[in-house]
Amino acid sequence: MEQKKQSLRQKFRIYKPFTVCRIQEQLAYKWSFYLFIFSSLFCVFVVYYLWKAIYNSSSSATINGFTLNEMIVYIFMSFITSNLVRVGVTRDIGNEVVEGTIAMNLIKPIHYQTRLFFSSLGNLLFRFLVPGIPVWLILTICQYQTAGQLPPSPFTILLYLLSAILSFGIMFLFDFCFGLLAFYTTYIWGLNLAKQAVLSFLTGQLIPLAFFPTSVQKIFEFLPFASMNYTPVMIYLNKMPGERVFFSMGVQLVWLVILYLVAHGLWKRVTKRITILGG
Amino acid sequence: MIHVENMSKEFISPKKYPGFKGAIKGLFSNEKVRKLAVDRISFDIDKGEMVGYIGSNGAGKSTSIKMMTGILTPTDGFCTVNGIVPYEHRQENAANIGVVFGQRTQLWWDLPLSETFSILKEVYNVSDVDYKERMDFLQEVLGFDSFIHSTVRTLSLGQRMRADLAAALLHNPKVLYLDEPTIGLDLVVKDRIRQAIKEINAQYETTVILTTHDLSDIEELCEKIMIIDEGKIIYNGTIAQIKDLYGKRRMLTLDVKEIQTLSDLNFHNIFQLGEDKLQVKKEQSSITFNFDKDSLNISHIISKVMEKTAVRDIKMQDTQITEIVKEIYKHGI
Amino acid sequence: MRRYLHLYRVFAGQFMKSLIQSKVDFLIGLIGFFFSQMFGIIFLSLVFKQIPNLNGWTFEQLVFIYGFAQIPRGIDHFLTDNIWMLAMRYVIRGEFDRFLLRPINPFFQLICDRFQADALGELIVGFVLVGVSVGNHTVTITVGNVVLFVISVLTGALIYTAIKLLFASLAFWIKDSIAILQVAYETSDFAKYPISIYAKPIRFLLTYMIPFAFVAFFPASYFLTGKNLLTTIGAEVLIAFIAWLLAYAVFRKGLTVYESAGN
Repeated sequence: MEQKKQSLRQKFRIYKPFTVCRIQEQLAYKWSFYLFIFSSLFCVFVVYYLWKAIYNSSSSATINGFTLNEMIVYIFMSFITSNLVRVGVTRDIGNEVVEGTIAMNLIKPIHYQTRLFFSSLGNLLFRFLVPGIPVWLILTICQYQTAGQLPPSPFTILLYLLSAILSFGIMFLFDFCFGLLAFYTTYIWGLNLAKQAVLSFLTGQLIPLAFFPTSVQKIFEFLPFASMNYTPVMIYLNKMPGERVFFSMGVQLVWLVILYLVAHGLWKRVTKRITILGG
Repeated sequence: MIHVENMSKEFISPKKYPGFKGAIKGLFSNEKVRKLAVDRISFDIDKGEMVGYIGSNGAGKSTSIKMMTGILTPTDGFCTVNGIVPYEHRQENAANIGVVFGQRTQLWWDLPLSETFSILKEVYNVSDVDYKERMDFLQEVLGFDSFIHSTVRTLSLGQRMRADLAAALLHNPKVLYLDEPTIGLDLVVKDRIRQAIKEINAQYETTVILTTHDLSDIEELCEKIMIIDEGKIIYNGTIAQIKDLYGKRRMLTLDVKEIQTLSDLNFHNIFQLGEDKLQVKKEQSSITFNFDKDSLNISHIISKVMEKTAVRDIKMQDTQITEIVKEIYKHGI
Repeated sequence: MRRYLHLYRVFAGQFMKSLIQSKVDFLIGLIGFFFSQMFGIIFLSLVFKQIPNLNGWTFEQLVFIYGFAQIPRGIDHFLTDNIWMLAMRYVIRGEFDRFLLRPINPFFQLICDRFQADALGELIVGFVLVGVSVGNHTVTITVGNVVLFVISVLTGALIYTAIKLLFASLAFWIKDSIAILQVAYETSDFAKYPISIYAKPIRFLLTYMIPFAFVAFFPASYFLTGKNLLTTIGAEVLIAFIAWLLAYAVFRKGLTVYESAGN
């Protein structure tokens, strides 16, 4: 099939509605949506109190290079970041497979992955506003009030955002590959749960990767998970020396490319399957 | 069997405001929207009767049926079914009734049909002897042998409806509520369902209450009808009676040899009747008169036509209940 | 009563059959819940490399508390997971109708409609960790302890059920109570660890408002210390009893205001 090359601007115009639509969807949930976010904060508070108790029980003020205050910033920034990059592509694909609309969507003159990407962008923007901004503000104010700590410099925040956007891209591609499993099982809910559990651990959302034994950390260097959450949060905390920041972001870029190729290959195989078996 | 007295149901819901601001406003506002779905209805239905319950969407028929089955509690008034107040003694009442909601199955979606029946046997505490007798009878009138081992979700709509009906009848209920039992079904299945209902009623003296949009169901099955509109019962009586009262229209179709010979006749002038009492429609080789039987005699029409041309065939039609109901909705009683 | 037992067996049998048909889904769910609970323990083991104890609790003791907490949670999850559907769709879509049309207790029908095999993930984590605790003598097996364990785990599950039923029943009034139920249920996350680590308001919440502390931490601490039987497991039984009566009363009240759908 010959497809005309579209300019970037044209492309943006075509796909922008998917982003807007997703934001509106999220707004439509209103109260239940905010309650869900509220309940997901519970988990963060459990970890917060655990760390407080841990530092109380420890004889030294820093553990694995983290002071208590840094640890608190770490877990809340991890929460914000993981919320930002949580794309929900697995669910999107899963729903379309279960409802059988995926074949229809493949026929439409719209690039499937691009469409998913722009929908996910809606997620990102919305979650930047809720819970991103308010949680960040409360965290920053509390830090200043209790520890007299100022937020990091605008340049660091900029680097953080840049790295977080890369994380978002990696997460999108990873989630996309994972979502293709929907063609082999209908139990997307269980699949998502397992994925979420594993990711919250391996991406450092639950505990900084620095706490793992060195041998395990070595293995993590060859996996994409640190690039999904740990890198931006450590940048925000100024826990990386200058050259290390750029090295880590370079690693993120490499993963972006690798996952892009993997996603592309898998998609080809799966679409062949759809056209043969029917959606 | 069923006694309903001044029964009302009012739904109260918080007032909704549009938009995001509206949602916030809604949180703090105490304004309520009241909707009287059923408005002080009263009626009695005897054992073994088959009653058609008619009303447009939102007229209140589902709501009143749900009160009689015990799903909803009336806001005012009461009803008894076989001497039991259904919404107060739900489980006792449930043992006496069978319910089929055409648009929603009562069966277990993931189970084979046979399994559903054996569960229902336990649920309704049916003895082995009765169970066998009932299953034989239902199999005969509904014929579900060919798909009894299929999972409910895989059944076609027609099969599912037959299965649902069988499931509702397994415990030999005294009252059977049917809400749109033939919706979306093809003519063959429709007929089968109707025959089954008739036979069940004849054999077991089951009281049947039937709501449907397809009034031919009711003409075929019921002697009595109740019409509900805006929550009020506006008619309660036999079909024959309502036809007598409102069915003054007759339809006469004449197949004629030479239709063009009639073209210069103005029947309105000849019989001195306006458009409201007489409508004439000409087709290729036939002419149809739709007229008020009190104002015009059939023989007059026929003789007037026969003066001009030979008549090959005569068709006379009674008023359809559909027409009457339409009429009542338009103009009231 | 015999009828109910028989019916329950029939539904359980059907569930076993469907389980065999959907092995992959079963494994996915099991692994999902296994992981989501297991990582908490790995977290603790990583942290305990740095500290000797946590608020006076040893690592072994925390493992027991954590594992013990999984068991009542898993039992309730396995048996009454369908309560979520009441909060999520049965009321708002009017699907609750069918439970009111049969001569069987509606609550019984509600929970019978679906068993949740995923819960085995939690139960496995729970029993493995409790087993480990027995193995390393953190807790000891005596006849009395076993009896108390069974009582505590079952009443704990009942507390879970009661809390779920109470918040799900709100759907009868507000149509969709899934978000509120979610918030209430998630507070159980706090109960996996000693409640002494939390700030006062949270301790108060877990003890007196949504009593998850009595499901896990208090009874577990009895098995660890052998102290305060009455204020731990005794209180648990009492609270389970009260919570259940309250939740079931709200559920019954909800049935009378149920409005079905399509109006």
